[in-house]
Formats: sequence, C-alpha cells, structure tokens
Amino acid sequence: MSFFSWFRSKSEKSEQDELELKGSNEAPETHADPEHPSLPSSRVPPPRLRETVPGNRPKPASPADSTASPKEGFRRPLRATVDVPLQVLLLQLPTDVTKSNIDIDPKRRVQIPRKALQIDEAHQTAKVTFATLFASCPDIFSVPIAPLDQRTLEFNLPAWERSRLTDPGEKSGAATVVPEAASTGLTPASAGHEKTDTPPTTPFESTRSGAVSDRFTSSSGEQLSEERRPSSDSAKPETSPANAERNGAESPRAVRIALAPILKSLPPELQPSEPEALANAPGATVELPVELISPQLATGKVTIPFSTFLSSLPEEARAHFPQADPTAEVPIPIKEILQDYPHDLLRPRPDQEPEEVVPSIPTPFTAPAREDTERFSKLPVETQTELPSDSRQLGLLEQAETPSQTPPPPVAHETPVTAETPIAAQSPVTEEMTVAEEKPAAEHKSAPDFSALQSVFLTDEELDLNKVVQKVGELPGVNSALFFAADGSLQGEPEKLGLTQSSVHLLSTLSHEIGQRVGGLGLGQIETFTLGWKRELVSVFTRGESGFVVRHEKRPFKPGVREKICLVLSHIC
Amino acid sequence: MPIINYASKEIQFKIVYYGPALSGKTTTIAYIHSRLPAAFRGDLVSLATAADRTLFFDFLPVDAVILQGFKTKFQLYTVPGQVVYNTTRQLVLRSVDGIVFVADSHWDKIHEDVESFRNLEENLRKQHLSLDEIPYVLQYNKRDLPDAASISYLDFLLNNRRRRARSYEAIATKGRSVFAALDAVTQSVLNKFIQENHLLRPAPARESATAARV
Repeated sequence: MSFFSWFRSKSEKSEQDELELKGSNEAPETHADPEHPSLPSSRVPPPRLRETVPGNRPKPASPADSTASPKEGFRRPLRATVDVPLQVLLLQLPTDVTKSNIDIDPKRRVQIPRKALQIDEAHQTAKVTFATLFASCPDIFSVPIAPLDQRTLEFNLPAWERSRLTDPGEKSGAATVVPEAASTGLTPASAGHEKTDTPPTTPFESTRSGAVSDRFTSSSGEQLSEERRPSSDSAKPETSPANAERNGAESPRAVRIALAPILKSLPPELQPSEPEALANAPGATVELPVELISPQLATGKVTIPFSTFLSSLPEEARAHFPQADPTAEVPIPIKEILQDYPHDLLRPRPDQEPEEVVPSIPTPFTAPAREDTERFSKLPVETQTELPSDSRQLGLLEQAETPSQTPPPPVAHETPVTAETPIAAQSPVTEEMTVAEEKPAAEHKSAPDFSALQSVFLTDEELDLNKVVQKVGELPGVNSALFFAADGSLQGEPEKLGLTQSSVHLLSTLSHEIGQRVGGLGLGQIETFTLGWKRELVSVFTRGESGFVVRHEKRPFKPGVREKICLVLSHIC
Repeated sequence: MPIINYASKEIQFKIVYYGPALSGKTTTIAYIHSRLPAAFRGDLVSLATAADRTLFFDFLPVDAVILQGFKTKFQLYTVPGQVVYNTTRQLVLRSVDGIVFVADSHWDKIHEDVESFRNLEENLRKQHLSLDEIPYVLQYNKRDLPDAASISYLDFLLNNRRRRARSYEAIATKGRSVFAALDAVTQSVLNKFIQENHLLRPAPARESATAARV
C-alpha cells in the first residue's frame, strides 16, 4: 500500500477510533486556528505517522519533558501561502480557459495565498477563485480572468497540507509557536529556508521491488525540515501578515535535486545497494539549502559531505547506503542544481562594465570570421539557434565601424582556391553546405563527418573510414585497429590484429552483452573494455552496435589516446 | 608588449590561446592554420608528446596589416593545459599581447575551466600583468555537445570581472566562431597599440593585404 493510500485510510477512520487514540496520545498544544475554526482542536494525527516522526511526537505536557529534546516541542508555523502542484490545478481547470500546449514542469508549484482558499477539511479539498489563480500563475490561462470572476476551482489539497490538518501542532498558527530557536542550537547557515515549510520531497509511490519504502517523504525528510525550521522562524517570524506575504513571495531558499543524477555521479564506494530502485522511484529528490550550494557554484564544482547527503535523505533511503567515511565528498551535478536554482542569484556583478566596443580594424582574420558566420547562419538546424551570441558580437563591431573603416570585400574571396590551399580549408565549407542544402535530413544524420576528424588527427589529408581506422592504428601505443559496423562489416585488417572475422563478431557481441549487464551499475553507458593476454591487450570501444577493436601494448593507453578514439568513434557513429 | 623590429620594419604581437587540457586550443589553432591562405601564414609548429598532447606550445605566425609603414605579425601560441606544465605556461605567457581563453562547455569540465582561468590570472600576476590591461576574449568551445553548460552559467563563472569580456560560442572542430574570437582579440590588441602609441588607423585591408603579400 502506498503511503498516501494508507494515510487516507487512516484519515477516514471513524470518530470513535480517533477519540480512542486521543485518549492515549493527546497533544499538549491544541491551539485553535483562527483561520480554521471548524477544525477540531483536539484532532490527533494517526499514530503510525507519529511513529515515523519521533521528533514530532507530542509528549505529555511537562516542563522537564519539553526541554529534554529541542525538536519535540517544535510546531510547524502556518505559512501564508499554500503550495499546490501545477499539475493538480490543471487537471481541474476547464479547457476553455487553459492554454492547450502547456509544458508542465512536474516540479513547479503554485503559491496560493492561504486566506484566498476555502478549505474543506472534511474532504481535504480546497476551492480557489479563477481570479486568484490567474493572479498567481497567469501563464497557464489562455484568456485573461477578471478580478471579479467568481468561478471557483476545487482541488485536492496536497499531502503536506493534509498532514497539517491532521496534526494538532500543524493546525496552530504561527502566533502560537513557542520560540525555540535558541534551544535548538541550530546553525545560522540553516536559517531562512522558506521551502522548509513544505516537505523536502514529493512522496514516493511503491516500487516494483518493494525494496524502497513507500513512505519516502517521511520521518527523516520531515525531521530535516524540522531541524531547519526553528531558526527560520526566529529569523523571519510569519506572525505579521505583511511579513507572511513577503515570505510567500520570496524565491526559494533551498534547491531540490533529483536523486538519480546524484547517484550516477556517486563514487563506487558510496553507491547504494539498489541504486535503480532508489533513482527510479517517482519524486526521488533531495533538498539542499542554497547557502550550502551558492559559495561552491562559483567554483564550477559542488560537493557536500556524505553525512550531509545522508541527512538530507529520508530514513528509508539512508538504509540503502553503505557505512562510509562521513567526510567523503558527494558531487552534486551542477546541471541539476541550476534547474531549480534561483536564477537571480546567478546574475553578473552589479558594477560590471559593458563590453568594450573598439573601432574595427581589418585584419587577416576578419574575412574568415565573416565567412564562417555566414556559413553557420545558413545551417538551418540547431547551429542557427546558437549563433546569436556570435552575431551579437559581430553586430557590435559593425556598429562601431565608420564608413572609412568599413573593410573591403574579404581577402579570402579574392584568393582563388588553388592546389596550394589545404584541403581542410575547402572541406569544412563544402561539407557543411552540401549537408545542409542538398542531402536529406536522414542522410545527413547517417553521414560521418570526416572533415571534422582532420583536426583531430592534425592532418590536411582527406579522410575516409579506411584512413581513419589507419590513423587510429597509428596512435601512440596502438599496434593496430579495426572498425566494426552495425551491419557486421569490418574496416581494417583483422589479420593484423590476430583475429578472424568471427572473433571480431564475438567481441562486438560481448561488448553488447557487457553493456547490458553493467548498465545496472548506475555508472552510465559503457564505452570501452579491455581484455588482457600475456603479451598484449585488446580494447573494444563501442557506441551502439559499432565500434573499434584496438590492439595495444601491455600498458594503459597513453594520455589522450583513449579520449581521442572515443571522439573519433562519436564522430563516425 | 609587442616586439618592434625597426630593421625589418615589423611589429610582432603575441596572442596566446589559454585554457584547460582538452578544451580545444590545438584544434582551434589547427583550424586557423587550415583556413588561412598560405601567403599569410607560416608553418604550424606543434611540439607535442607522443600521445599527441601539447607539450610546449603550438605556434603559428600570421602576417597582418600595415601600421605606420610597419608590417604587423601575429604569433599565435597555445599553452599545455595540463596542470603540471605550469612553468611552461608561464614561459609562453611572457610578453603576451592578447589572450583567447578557450573554455570547455561540458558540464564535467567547468571546474577545470575555472581552475585554468584562475591559473591564468595567477600567472599574469607573477609577471606583474593583469587581465584588466591585456585584451582577452572568451571562447566557449564545444557548444555542439549535447551536455553543454548554459552560457549564462559560463558567463557567471568566467565573465564576471569588472569589465565584461567578449564571449563566443564556438565549435573548434567545425570552425564556428574560431575566427570571430581571434578577430576580436586582434582588433583589441591593435587598437590598444594604436592608442598607446598615438598612431593613425591602418590602411584598408585591400592595401594591407597586398602589402603583406609583397
């Protein structure tokens, strides 16, 4: 049973059951919520939930007990806004007012002012007017909504809001929160996390293997949030409505990152026991404070200690990780960070002066630069979208030009293409033009770009597959090489490798098999493997069904050779 | 500082391609060599290791425009990107007039870009130079990679000095923006030289090209 199914069934328990539970688990603080007077003030959360959140479990009112553990007495403050997944709203929104092709980001949430919601506690639903919704996220509407539009949208409250309704501590408003920041002993670095009010992860569904708990958003995740919350409260009390509004409008102070890419970049010694089950579970994310990430972003590398990484995970997920050095570094892929990172924090320094615009002086490089710009601007594919930066630069130069400084027709145009002109000088142009203008797209995709390989091998020689294989075989430390294609054809000399055609076929099958088997390690797609004999080594480089078989000296590849072969293979395939 | 040879009436400018290992510096200079007419360029000298990695530098002399009767020459150098070759990089950086910083756009290489950029600043500092006074441009290379970092982030990392530098999205293997970056830094170098020496603007390119051939 998934966590939410279980949770819902528990929530729908009879009143009698709740009263029974109340008798044994009465919460000490049962302040009535001024915004929800109808909510029974003595409502008690299901015991199972509190079992999984020991830090939240209300204790019998006792001064000694309340000071024993700083976490135990803490109550989550009521936020000024309610975070609702955009997808939930779109499901309920009439199609005549919704944009037809909305690219829904599943991570995106809409912040709706709590006071603008009509919350039905019995059914755990809420209503919001179209006008309010339009004010919060106008981009999903196809038509403008008038402020006085009274049409309403009913939706199910998200899980974290439902848990508020069932938790007496959560029901109490921020004004009732006992300031506990001093007693929690939290570090200032964790202060001010707005997102900590919401659960750090979205719930996991039950996995096929069942190895991962179906209550991923549970104890530890909540506990981590709880740990950060008190100092947040002390720094930004949401008691005043104005302040609450301001907090609700602030950019997020924590970054939510999918777990899968982190697992991919984890060192082998830190890999969890079942990485696929963890990574593939929907909503598998970790939440890291911006304060921890921001200083490192400027270095181009973000790592966190293993212990911090573990603490940001729910307890069920932690069990999958090995006992390792807590100070070991866990690399966090920056690409993933930036997806949820507040982009206003990446803006350039405020005192930065604009680029210097210098008067144009014709140089031998001006003409080729223009030629290249024209050549790439003619390519209709993705390169065209990448050109603006370059075009902008040239545009700046052109703006700076005075009529007297305008360069004459490019020198390169005056120079006819003669036999002296290196082939490479012609081939990039002709190759690109031919591919872009004449060949159909499918053929373009399948045609290897051999001209690009001229710079890889630092040669002006016109290359074909045979010559490329020969060049690979001539790389330092490599004795011979052979290329096998997806259709089984070979390029090169198998005899020189000491192999027959069938043995090459066996190697390609083996590489395919190995690729499939080791794919589950979470280390990405295998690129190469090496077989060692007494006197020499044979390495197989694969990409899809094609690849290189390379015989080399009985030592690792010399620096750069492996990378070069991979590059060549990526060009060919 | 350019070298002025009054006997042969030549001014030599030194442009250095700097950046982390495997970012595409040698590919860039090889492309430039392949595209320039033979009349303008010298031979590409590449001092490489057995593994085809730059050991000392790549060198490409290029004849350029005429300034006040002086023929200008540009010497294009690359540095070895490997961390261990820092002494070599310092040597190559001596008397540098302009710099093209070649950054690798792959997400996994961004840290190396930052390290290399810091190394460049440090090496210049040792020569009592600074990027504030030396013209430089940023060549964000390998933009055709499917996993290329965003330009805004690269700018945030590498183009966050007081004076914003020109940046180019380049694909050195195909030659995209390679000449644009070189042309930009060359123009900045020439303009700086003209400004510092109170010289007149050079003759139009057609005349200068003819003169250069002669």
